[in-house]
Amino acid sequence: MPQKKKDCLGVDKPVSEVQADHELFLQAFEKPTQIYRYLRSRNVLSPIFLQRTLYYMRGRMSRSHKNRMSFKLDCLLDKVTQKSERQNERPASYLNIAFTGFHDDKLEGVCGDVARVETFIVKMCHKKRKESSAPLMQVSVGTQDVNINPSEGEGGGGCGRNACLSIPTHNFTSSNGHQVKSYVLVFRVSLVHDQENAGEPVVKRRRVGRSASQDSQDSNIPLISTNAINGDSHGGVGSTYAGELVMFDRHGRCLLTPGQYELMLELQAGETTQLCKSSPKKNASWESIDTLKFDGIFNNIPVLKFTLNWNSENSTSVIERPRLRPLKPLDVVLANSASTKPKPQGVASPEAPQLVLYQFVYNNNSRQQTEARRDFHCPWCSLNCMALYSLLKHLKLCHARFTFTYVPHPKGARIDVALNECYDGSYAGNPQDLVAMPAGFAFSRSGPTRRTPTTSVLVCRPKRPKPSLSEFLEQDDDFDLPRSYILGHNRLYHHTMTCLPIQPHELDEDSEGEHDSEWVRQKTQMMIDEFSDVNEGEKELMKMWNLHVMKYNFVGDSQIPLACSMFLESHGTELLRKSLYRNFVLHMVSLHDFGLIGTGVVYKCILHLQNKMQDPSVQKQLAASWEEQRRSSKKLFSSYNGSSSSFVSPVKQESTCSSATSNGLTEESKSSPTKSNVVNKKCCVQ
Amino acid sequence: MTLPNGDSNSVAGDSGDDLDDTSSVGSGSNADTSRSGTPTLRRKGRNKRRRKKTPAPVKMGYKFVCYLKEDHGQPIFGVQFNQHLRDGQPLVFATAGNNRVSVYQCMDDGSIKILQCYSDPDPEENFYTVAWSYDTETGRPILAAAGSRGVIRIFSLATMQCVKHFIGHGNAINELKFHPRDPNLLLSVSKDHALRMWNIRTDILVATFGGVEAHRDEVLSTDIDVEGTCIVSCGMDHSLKIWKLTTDIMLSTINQSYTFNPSRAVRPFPTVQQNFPDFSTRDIHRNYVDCVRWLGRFILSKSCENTIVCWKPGLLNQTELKHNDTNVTIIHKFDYKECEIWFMRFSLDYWQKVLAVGNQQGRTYVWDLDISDPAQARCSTLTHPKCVAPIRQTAFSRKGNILITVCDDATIWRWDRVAQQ
Repeated sequence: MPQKKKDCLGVDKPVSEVQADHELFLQAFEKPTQIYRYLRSRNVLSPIFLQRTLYYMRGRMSRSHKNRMSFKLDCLLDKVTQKSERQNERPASYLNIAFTGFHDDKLEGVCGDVARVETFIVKMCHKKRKESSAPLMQVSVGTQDVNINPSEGEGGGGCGRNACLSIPTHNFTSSNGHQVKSYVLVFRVSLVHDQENAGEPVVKRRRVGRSASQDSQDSNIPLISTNAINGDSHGGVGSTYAGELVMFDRHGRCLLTPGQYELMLELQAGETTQLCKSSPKKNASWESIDTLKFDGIFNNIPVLKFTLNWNSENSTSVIERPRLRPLKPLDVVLANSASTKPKPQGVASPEAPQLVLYQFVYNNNSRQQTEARRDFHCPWCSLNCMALYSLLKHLKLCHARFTFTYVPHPKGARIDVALNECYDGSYAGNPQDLVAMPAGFAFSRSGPTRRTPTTSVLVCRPKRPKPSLSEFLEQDDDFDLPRSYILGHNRLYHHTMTCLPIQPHELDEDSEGEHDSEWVRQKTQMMIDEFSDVNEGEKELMKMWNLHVMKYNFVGDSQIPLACSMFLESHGTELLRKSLYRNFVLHMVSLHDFGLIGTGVVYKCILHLQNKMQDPSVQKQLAASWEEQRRSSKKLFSSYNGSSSSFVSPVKQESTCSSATSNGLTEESKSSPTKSNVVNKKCCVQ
Repeated sequence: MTLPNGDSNSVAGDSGDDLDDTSSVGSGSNADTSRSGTPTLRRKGRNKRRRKKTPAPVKMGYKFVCYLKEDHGQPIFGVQFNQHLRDGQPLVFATAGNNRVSVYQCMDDGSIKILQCYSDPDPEENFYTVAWSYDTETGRPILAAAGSRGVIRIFSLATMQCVKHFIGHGNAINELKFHPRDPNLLLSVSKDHALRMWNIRTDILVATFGGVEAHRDEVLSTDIDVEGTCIVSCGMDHSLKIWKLTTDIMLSTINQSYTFNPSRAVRPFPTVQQNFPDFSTRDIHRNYVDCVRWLGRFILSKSCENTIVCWKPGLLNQTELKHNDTNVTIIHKFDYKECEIWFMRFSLDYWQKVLAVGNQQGRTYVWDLDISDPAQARCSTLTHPKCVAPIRQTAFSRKGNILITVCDDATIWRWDRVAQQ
């Protein structure tokens, strides 16, 4: 840790100087360290990502995905049926237990005597909510006589055929009653003779003893558990010892592998047998191998020895008593778990832990302090990175407030730590993270979340370079960085109108550069409506024409003829329906007056419009409006001084009149603008 | 303490309370008699009444109960009661000030208890406004807050988290309002001259109200009428604008905002860009219009001219809004004193029967609107010797029996209605 400094500047310096140096050191490293400490505890409490999922933290990933290679969807059902079958079938149809002897040092005198072993199967059922304790069911499966303290040399430990016990495995099937949690074999040994037990050991211990059997698997170490309590025995008929053996762990796996067992027994206080007194987790304690002395323990505690195997047939034959081999020291002694978990893979680092020297450089590189570590734990996160490469990558990526430079060292590695002057705290990740809702994965506070989806165009896909420590070496300035394979900027763009961030999938859509947006069209129409010296027909035509020009954005005089023909193409019929023939002709003449179009264009356009008139539906409409206008104009002219509200009508009337007569139209229409203007002026004056 | 008309009825004195100075003063006329519409008639009437029984019944008596101060010491700009909580449920209100949003509960014993407090990570943030709604699925309360950074934050009080935030406004947000019919629609008004309507359920910007014919300066306040058909907005350009929500395009866009799936769609959501209000006027006020509320078909609005104007667009009998209408009808003016600074908000209770506004001297004016003629609206003044900072906003509980006022010196004042005599 940075604070735990090892002063390498020498001890001869005065105290004040050392203190001043320490101040400088703190100045440089204290604040970032505090920040990283805070982040560390936050990541412990609610991580926003998991270290093991990072590609450079492979060492921390305990899962391998080997199964995925061979996985086929069609096999799914087979797997499930196989699994259920496997659960149903036990190793064999019979569980054979051949007792080889009951050993107790206190019973030296009674060598050769016989003890009676009664075996029970206890079913532990699941506790229901309202029950205070788990219901137990006890079934006696047999009683055998066993020799007490048989000598090693003796052939058969048991008394003839009786020393063997066969339990049909259908007793243990879990298929019928799923509520049965586990089965426990309970052995109760009763002596015929009374025995004083003054010297009973007080140690209250549990052991995971590995039987001396040849085939015990790592994951399935049989558990032999007893409670040895200092009970004063009753001076009754006989002393009773009891021991229990759990058959299945909580996952339904069989714990009783075939082999030779030595079960430590416990002296029962009375005849009332308490079964499964306490869960193994209580009273558990760690013990080291050094304090374990198997010989002594097995000598002092009453032990029931037997051979256990699973067999297809009911074995009743006398089994030869095995010779005990010298006990090998156990590599792992777990005193508090019913079943040892498989050792997590990759706990040991691929590289042997060696010296990692952190050299803190500060005060403009003028001072430095060194601290050594023997493992690959991050000094700020205490995260075990397993390997030097992972450590360096982690430091570089997760502690960007510092710069780390790797320097090879004869004893291991040296990492120069300095303050990163370029660090500005800005978010360098996906900018969509900042605006995504719910808050993107970088800012989620409720555990790891999905990444914000982004779309980028890959321009090249270089292979990820092999992990190499050389990338942490001090780089020259001209070191060329790996080419970025994503096109464009790492930026957030916004819509022009709404200022909302542009989502990745909207990036291709570019519709906002249009110059005739709806509001402009609406505003144009409203402004035309506000003219007070223009009649309604002209307003209508002006709106149509202006919107047309705005839409196609005609920019030059030379485009006007084109604009005219396009206008007639798109709006011609509408024009006629609205009885705007003469207004359009007037417009053409105005364009001609301003020199924008020639007479030829005027002629062509009007011809075009007249062609459109040939459409019967248009003709019908024209006739109808002509009728109507004639009626209204009659009214108008009869009371000419009256309402000024319908001052539009005269123009429209004239225009329809002219349009209705198909012959000599051109001349008439040519002369009409002046007329209509006159009328307009009249009306406006009114 | 100066009394408006020289004659007054001190409720505190009547009830024999010790709180001599912390009383509410009722007066029959408006605070400023010179501007009040019909002083003579009413005074006569009141005098009659006073002769009959003394002291005259003060209908709108509010009594000071307690006050507290938020530790940041900065102005509290917004306060809102959660009007979605009904009778029998706790009286909860929220305040916005500095970078904090705090949620309080009014206890039955007259105290105020703090329930939750949210602090923006940016110390520069200054929240101006809060608004209440509820989750339409779970029914849990939702609190929206916004301020100087222009970010709308949505808090889920049940999970105690800022569950959403909306960015888009180009500048500070001055007020938030939820649609009275659709609790998912949130209206925000901003310094960027525009209003925005959000669907907070689907995180979609439904519409923006701004542009060529819209406000020409900061929008300061807005309100949606109880039927959810019209928005009224006002701002620094002295104008008040009405926007219809019942147009085809608005209705269809609101519906579409529920069904739109942004992850499937290729195009962004077709947000309505409303540039043209359905009614606009600059004739009511001659200064910044900083608060506006619907009162049925009428509008209450205030500027920094010591008056709250009750008016309606168009002529008195006109029901339809006209785009180019230049007519407005002023129904009544509620006058008060010493309120010439802007960003001072008045409030109505849920049933729109009481109106309250504070002034820059720390006084609160309360009008009883439960009358047939607005001219009869009686004003009472609430004062407390320690309440001297400008009162930024007031808020009534749903039943109108508790009035909360918030001040520039980070104080929160609770006034309880005294029993009607």
